[in-house]
Amino acid sequence: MECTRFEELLFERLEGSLDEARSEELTAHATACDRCGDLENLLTSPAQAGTGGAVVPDDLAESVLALTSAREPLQRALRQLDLDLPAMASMVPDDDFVADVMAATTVADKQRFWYRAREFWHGLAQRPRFALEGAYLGAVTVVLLVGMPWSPFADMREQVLTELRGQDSIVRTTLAEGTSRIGRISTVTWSRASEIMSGEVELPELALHPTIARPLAAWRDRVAGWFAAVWTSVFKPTFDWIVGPWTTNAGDLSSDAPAPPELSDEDNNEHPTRRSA
Amino acid sequence: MELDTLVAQCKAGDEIAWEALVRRIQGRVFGLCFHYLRDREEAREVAQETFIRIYRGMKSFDGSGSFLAWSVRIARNCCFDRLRKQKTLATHGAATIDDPDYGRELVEKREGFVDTQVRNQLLRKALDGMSAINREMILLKDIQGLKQREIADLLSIPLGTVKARSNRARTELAERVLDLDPSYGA
Repeated sequence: MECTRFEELLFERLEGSLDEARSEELTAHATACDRCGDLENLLTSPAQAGTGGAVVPDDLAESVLALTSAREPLQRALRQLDLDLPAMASMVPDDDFVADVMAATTVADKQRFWYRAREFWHGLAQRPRFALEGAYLGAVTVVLLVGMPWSPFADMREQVLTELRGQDSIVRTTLAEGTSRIGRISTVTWSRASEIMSGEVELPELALHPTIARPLAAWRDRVAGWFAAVWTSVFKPTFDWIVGPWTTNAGDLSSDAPAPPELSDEDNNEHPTRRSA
Repeated sequence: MELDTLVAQCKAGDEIAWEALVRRIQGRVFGLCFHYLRDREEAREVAQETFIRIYRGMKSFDGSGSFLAWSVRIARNCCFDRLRKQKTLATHGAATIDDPDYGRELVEKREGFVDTQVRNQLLRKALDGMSAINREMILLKDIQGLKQREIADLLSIPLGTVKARSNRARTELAERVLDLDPSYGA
C-alpha cells in the first residue's frame, strides 16, 4: 500500500466508514511504515488532536451545527449579493443616447458659445424671482441713467417736459373738446328725461278701451309724478353737481381753443312728444 | 483602452476619445440616475445633463481620485437637483421600481434572463424597504463599486461610519431578501 493511499483510507477509518478488510491492510502498513504509523498515532491520540485531553461536551457539536446552520442562509444570501449587486450597476439607455450627448457637447466653438449662452439664459429665466429681479434691475438702471445729478442723461427729463410744454395747446384743445362734448350730450339727455318726469311733456293717450285706459293713465301719471319729485329733489341736483364742474372746466380750458363742435342732428333730435313752447 | 488614458485624451480635446468614454460609462451613469429617479425618461435627461457637466468640467478633473467616483458624484448631484425640482425627495422612499430592464445588461450575459429578472425585482423590492442612507450605501459601494474612502468623501461622513454602515446595510439587505424569498442564494 502506498503512503498516499494510506492517508486517504486513514481518514475513512476515523470517520468509521472503512470496512474491516481494508482496516487490516491499513494496520499492516502502519506497522511497516514508521511515517504512516506516526501519522496514525497523531490523529487517533486525543491529546494530539487539539482537545488537550479535556472531556468534550456531548452537545458541543450539535450547538455548533445549530449555530452555523442558522447563519448559513444569511451567508449564502450575502455571497449571492456579491454576484447580483455589481450587475445592477449598468443599465442600457436607448440607442440615440450617445448621439444626443455628442450633439450636446461636441459642437463647434462658435455654436458652443451660443449653446452655453442659451443654457445660461434658460437657467436664469427659469428662476422664480427672475421677473422681480428684472424689474428691480430695470428700475435701478433707469435711475442711474437719468435720475442722478451725474447721470449721462440727467437733462433728459427737462428736455421731455419742455417738449410737452411746447405741445401744451394741443393737449388743452383735445381735453376741452372731449369734456365739452360729453357735458353737452349728458345735459341734453338728462334734460329730456327731466322734462318727461316733471310733466312738461304730455304723454300720449293709451290706445285702449276708456274703462281700462283711464285708471292706467291715472296710475301712470301718479308714478311719473313720484319720479318727477325724486328727480327734482335728488337726481337733478346730483347730476348738476357732477356735470357742472366739467362743463365749467371745459369752458375754462377751451378759452383759447377753438369752440367745441355743435351737437349733431342726432344729438339734438327732439322728442316727438315735446311740447312746442 | 484604459479609462485613465481615455480621460487624458478627452482633456486634450480628443472628440473621438470623448465618444468612447461616453459609450464606456453610459450604462453606469444611466443606471445610477435610474436608481435615484425611478423613471427612464427622467433618468435619460439627467444622464445627458451629467455628461454635459462632465464634459465641461473635464479640465478641472485633476486625476487625484477615481474618474468613476468623480462621475458618480456629478451624476448624484444632478439627480438630487432634479429631485429637488420635482419635490419628490420626501416621498421617494415609498417608490417602487418596476422596470424590467434595470441591471439587465451584465446579468443577462451570465445567467438565464428569467432568473435574473426575478432576482433583480427581488433585490429592488428589498432595497425599497431599506432606509435611504443604507440604500445609498448599497448603491455606492456594492452596486457602483466605489471605495470606502470615496464614499466617505462623497457623503462627507467619517470613514469608520462608512465601514460600519456598509456592513450593516449589506446584512440588512440580505435579511430583507431572505424575508421575501428564503431560497435566495441556495
